[in-house]
Amino acid sequence: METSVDRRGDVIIVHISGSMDGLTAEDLQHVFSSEMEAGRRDLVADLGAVDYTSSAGLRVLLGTMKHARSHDGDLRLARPRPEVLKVLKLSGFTRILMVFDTVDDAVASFG
Amino acid sequence: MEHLPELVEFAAQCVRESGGDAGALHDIRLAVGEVCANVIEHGYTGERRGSITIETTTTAERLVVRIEDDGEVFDPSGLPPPDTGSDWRRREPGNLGWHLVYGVMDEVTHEPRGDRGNVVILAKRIGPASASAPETG
Repeated sequence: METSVDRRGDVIIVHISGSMDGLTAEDLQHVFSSEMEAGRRDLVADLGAVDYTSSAGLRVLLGTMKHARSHDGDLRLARPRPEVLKVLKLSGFTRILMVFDTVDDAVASFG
Repeated sequence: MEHLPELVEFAAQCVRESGGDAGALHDIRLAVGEVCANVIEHGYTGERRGSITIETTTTAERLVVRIEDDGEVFDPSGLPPPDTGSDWRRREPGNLGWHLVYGVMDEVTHEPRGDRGNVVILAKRIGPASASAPETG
């Protein structure tokens, strides 16, 4: 897994590629935690290049979303591939996380 | 856990060689990754070494993955279902892994190997077929 971080206004975009799994979840958590510790709580996870996410990756998304919302921010998802979207639906995550077709839409949703 | 990608990639390669589509490739990678991560995290808790053996068999229409370990016996069919409906404040991620395995595979079976060890068999429809091979990680 590889990540890169962009900033648009107050919104942080974390571009993720590869696999979000038990081996990489800790690194991904570190990326999100670093941004939140720096006071940035409006986050977009760009999943466009994610091959798959295991339950370990889902735990990171859930924990990050909870932390962000508890500080008046949010984690929103963009561009999941159909297979990844299926996993998000199976897990019930599409009921609690906002999912957008594009990164631009996700960023704009923060208003 | 550092060998997890090798185990997942072995299964993925079997899907590719069998002509499986992107959906089958994703689902096999996910399921094999979840089962193996569970063995590493829970089956071999506190142990520095342990073996996981993966064998695949393909037929005309489906891929069968047999995952064998020597860890603590664990029957996933006895797990309570995960929480997929609560409000985000109360949502906990427990038991999602096996829920995903059951969700993306056509068949999942578990057999204990006596007092220690497990055999998990995953089956997935993939379409046209060819190869089979074993690997130990």
